[in-house]
Amino acid sequence: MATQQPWYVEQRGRSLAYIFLTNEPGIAVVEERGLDFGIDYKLVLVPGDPGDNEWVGVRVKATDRDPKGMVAWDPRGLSKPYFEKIAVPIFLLVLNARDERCFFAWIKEPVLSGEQPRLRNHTESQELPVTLIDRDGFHQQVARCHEFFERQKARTGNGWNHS
Amino acid sequence: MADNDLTETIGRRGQSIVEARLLDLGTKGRPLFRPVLLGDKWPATDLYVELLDSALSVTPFFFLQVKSTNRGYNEVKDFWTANHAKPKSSHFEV
Repeated sequence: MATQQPWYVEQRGRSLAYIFLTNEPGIAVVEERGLDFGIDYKLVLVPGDPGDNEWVGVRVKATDRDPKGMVAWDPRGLSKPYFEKIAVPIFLLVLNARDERCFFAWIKEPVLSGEQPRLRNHTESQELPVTLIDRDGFHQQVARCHEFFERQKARTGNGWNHS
Repeated sequence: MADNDLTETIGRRGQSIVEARLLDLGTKGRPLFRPVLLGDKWPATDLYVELLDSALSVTPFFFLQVKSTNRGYNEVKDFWTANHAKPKSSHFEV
């Protein structure tokens, strides 16, 4: 998360992100503290342990003003071999600590068109296009992740991407 | 999903709600409090909270325990009356 802003923006943004993520029923939100994987939370979508491959990565960015279409981000950690080996969707959640509005952008986007589900990688970009998101919009994105895993499991049998 | 993941999520969500409210930026554009989550090692308290911009020479603080539930609760309007039987006679009653 960005550091060149007052301490309370980052702390409040992180709390608001956790509240927003846990609004969605049926998922566990696991904090990734101390791991240099470049994500802040794991969303565990299906029955099983967080170690399973069916989870979604979340990077949180806090701000005190609304992003204007694009938001700068630091792809540190996300280019590590760990993430190339395990095919999980990852998104960026931008929280405005002042007015509690929430913005969303895919970092590794599940693409469901075509016969095989795949992930579109946005980690090369220094800026990501963000859109305002509410609970319904987030629910739709979670459903998209569910479908991604179901189709991937049907194809490979265990959720791993061997392509 | 493991039950302990869900239980932990409910508890952490409650703490996050409290933390976000304490950090509300309000009309001044900065929070009145500085809360710190103490973590699992502290058995009875969840947050340590400092009062910011105090005129006192020593920073006022308090400890806070958060109870989280997803089952709802019964609101008791007068906690003292509900939990303490009224004495039959009192030396102070007129």
